[in-house]
Amino acid sequence: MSSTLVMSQHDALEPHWKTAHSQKQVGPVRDSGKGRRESRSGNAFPSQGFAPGNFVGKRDDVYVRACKVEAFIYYVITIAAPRGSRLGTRERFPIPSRSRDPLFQDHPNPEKITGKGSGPTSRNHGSTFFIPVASIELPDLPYAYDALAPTISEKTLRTHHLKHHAKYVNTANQILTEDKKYANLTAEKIIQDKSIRTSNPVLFNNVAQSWNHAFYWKCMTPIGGGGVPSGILMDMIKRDFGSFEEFRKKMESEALTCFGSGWAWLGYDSKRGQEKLVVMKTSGADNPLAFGVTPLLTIDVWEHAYYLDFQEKRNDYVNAFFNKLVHWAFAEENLNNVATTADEL
Amino acid sequence: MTKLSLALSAILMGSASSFSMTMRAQSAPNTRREILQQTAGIATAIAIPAAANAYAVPDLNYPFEALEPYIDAPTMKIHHDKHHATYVANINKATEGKPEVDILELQLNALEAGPAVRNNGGGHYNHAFFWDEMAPPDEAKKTKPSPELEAMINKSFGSMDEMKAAFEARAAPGALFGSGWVWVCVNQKGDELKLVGTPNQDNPLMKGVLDEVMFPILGLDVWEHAYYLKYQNRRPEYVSNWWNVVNWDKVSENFAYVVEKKAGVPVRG
Repeated sequence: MSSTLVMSQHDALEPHWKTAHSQKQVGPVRDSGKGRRESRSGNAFPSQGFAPGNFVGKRDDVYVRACKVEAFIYYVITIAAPRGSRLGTRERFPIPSRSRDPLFQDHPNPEKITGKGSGPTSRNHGSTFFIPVASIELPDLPYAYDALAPTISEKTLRTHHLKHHAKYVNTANQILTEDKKYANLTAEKIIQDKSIRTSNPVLFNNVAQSWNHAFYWKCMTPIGGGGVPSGILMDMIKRDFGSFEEFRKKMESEALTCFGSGWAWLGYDSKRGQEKLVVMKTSGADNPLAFGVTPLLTIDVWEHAYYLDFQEKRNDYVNAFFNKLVHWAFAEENLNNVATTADEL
Repeated sequence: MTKLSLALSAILMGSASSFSMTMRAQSAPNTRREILQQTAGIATAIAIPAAANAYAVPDLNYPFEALEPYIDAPTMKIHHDKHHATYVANINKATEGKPEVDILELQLNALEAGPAVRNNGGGHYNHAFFWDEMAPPDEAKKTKPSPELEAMINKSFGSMDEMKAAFEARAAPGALFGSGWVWVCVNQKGDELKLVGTPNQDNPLMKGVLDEVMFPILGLDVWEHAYYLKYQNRRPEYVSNWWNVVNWDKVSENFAYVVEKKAGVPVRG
């Protein structure tokens, strides 16, 4: 019997890789049509539908209170569960305190989820993220293949998604099927594990690239792309880079100076004593998670991401990404889910 | 100053050696000797205008569409006129004001010289090497490895077909992840051919990239810009089609040169 764990209001506070770690479901969460998402097993506890932002109107606080009760019950269960019992399989967690980053304290409701788009919720990014990788899924694009045209053509998106991304997913799954020793690891753990990177670089590359691409698709949006972020993210950008223009210049520079294949990232460094936004580039399949930085936004600068549309003009592609495509709501969502202590990464 | 005006002023001054002069940055002179030297330097510089390190993109020996259908004309044009040109511009910028060095000699200590020299010096050499080892399919068809090269291929790989198969395997996206080049090289001892892959714009001539410095005789660009317009993700198809444009006469020349001189193949530009 697969146990779908309670998703409570506290999910908004805790990092989503923790909640999903023991989940068995590997497909997208189904919507029963009643405005509440049901788990695959029809488990009595509702799955992740009860975040405050998902419902509107007077009934909100009823559900919110119900979530709090659920969370309390669940908290008691996990703490009280006998060792080795199924109930105790979820990682124990204290109610997390907010990150010591002062900007998190200043805002009254940092956990409001603002994600737009028709794709899976932020919590598990489809089932690609933060779930033990018995198999990695190739998530659908959050939009149609021609949705980003003419900036990114349909041909590019089709090739990029159905050939490149799919190949990474298939290769990763091939290895994971053959070699059972990685069965209980999430994609993030594989990316962060220094020994896997050296002992099985093919696995690392393909798992990381699967993750990177699933993340990248959501960093773009056909509607309302471009512009500037709002909320804590904008405040942090101003605090850590001086201004949005400074930040954008920096990230574009990282994207353009990434020699060969790689990625440019906006991330949040939650390591103790250095909590702040960072902009960085990685080479090949590399990912900021391996450096203790939580990704908030990325741009793919492998040539296959832009060559059909921009040829050698990577600067035009990066420019167009920021002017027309960048999905700031997704980055804000990711910031809201940031780990609260360095240990949780 | 453009090359044309340099040429004109050189002709006017009647000096043929202007292109190799470079101004060296110096601190303020503090002896009469230094002042005299500097004045002399300035005088000659005025008389013989200094040129920045003049690496240049060599012209192709064939038109852009000559390698069709195996490598398409738009790719050749962008690859040559944009990518290679950028490497040349950047290596010129990186070596400005420094004593002029042949692009081949720059390779050995490229890692020490820093990323700008490594990436762009490597990029310039690799591409200059690449253009000359290819020929239009009709001509390439008529070329074949020299007996010495054939013998070495058989010794190191078993047969030409086996070498090609090994080469294609080494060039596969799984084997060479990301951007890079695949090379057939002569080893230091000169008694064997080795098949290697190098990342980004590194090459076997650079000390520190492989276990030992080796001398390439054949190389293939597997950066995505080399094939994406025509082949997209189908790199294996690009690699297997590439054999149709390899000029084996030139490869044999490379082999003979490398074995005799124990040095890398010189390139134009």
